[in-house]
Amino acid sequence: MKDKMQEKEQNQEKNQRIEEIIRTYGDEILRLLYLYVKDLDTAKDLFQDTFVKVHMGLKDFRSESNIKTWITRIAINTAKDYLKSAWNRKVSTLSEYDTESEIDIRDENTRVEETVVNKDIRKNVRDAVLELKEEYKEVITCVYFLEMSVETTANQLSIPPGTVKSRLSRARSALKEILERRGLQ
Amino acid sequence: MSEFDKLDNIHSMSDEEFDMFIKSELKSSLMEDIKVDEELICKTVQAIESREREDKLIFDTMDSTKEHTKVINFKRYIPIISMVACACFVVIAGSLVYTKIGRKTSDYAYMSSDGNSEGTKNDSFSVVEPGYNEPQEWMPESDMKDEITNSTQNNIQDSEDSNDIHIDGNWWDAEVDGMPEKEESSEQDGNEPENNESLMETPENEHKEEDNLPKKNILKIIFEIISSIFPLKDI
Repeated sequence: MKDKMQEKEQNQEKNQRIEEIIRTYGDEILRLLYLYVKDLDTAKDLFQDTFVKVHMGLKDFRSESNIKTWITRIAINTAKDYLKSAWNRKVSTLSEYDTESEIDIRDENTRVEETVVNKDIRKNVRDAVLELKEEYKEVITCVYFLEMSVETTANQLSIPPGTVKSRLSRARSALKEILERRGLQ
Repeated sequence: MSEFDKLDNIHSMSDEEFDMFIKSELKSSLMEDIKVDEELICKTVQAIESREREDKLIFDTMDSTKEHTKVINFKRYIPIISMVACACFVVIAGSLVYTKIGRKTSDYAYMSSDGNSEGTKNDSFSVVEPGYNEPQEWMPESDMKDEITNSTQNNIQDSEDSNDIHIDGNWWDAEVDGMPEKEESSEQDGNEPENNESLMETPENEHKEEDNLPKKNILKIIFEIISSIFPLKDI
């Protein structure tokens, strides 16, 4: 009986801890996943998978390394596994425009002109990032969105820092090209 | 510079300016649109709990599988154990059959004349052979010899007496004297040596026959086995 009670208490503590972690790092992880998979619903599914993995590995996690870096790495690997899977290759994303409609409803009360302009630019930038090749997109996500250094990005993606720099340069050029094309339209 | 101007003049931006522009726009875009709500947190916690339950189930199943594996490991020794048991059974059965068929006369228990099983070799003993319903009483060899000697001497004496009567030719005298008739005496004369012979033969010859009986049985069984394997017709 005592063992069961202790086990229950331990589980409750673990659940509380994971809830705290989700509230602290959840937003950033969800956005990161969205940047990878371009679909909010899929990103939410992967979000759950990511934090299940975090919960599983929490007892083995060494607190000497940064927990945010560790969770980000798990999220990136989860997203990459999803993109590699055969299921993802067959399913086409349909909810891209649904997200736009949600945004429209939320911003209903803001000034119409500002909203339209800002939305258009942000949409263009986000779409341009999502349009990038996988290897460029992950470098942009880490450096621009997660604001990681080149070394941290190299460590996170398990590639040399020189490769990160070269990929960043090519990604920048590609982004410029895409945005110029969109600005001209 | 307005937002539209920024977008139009991207090609003229430096790398640092471009980096700052992308960072701010990308972040603000994602921060406004994509947020973790309470529903997602609840779903994630539920997913974690269900996963825990699944893991526990798998863990329990693995435990039971380990126990099952132990049983299987034990089962691996069952053929060896059964083989050993069979070998023991064959040895025991073989020894029993051998003792039943091949036991010798010396193996029989000596029984004293009063029926006590703790008799010695010098006491009389009873032999129960298959086919004999009643035990035959035997005497020790020394007593038997004495008896044979005495009976032989008596017979010789009787024959001498009968000869005397015959020589005298006076049968009536003999009858008067209480002597047995000639026929009876002749019968006795004729039979007694035979009886003596049978008495002479009985203890030793029976021993020999009993010794030979199991050997004959064994030979008979061996012959039957050989004949069953190699029928005579074939030979």
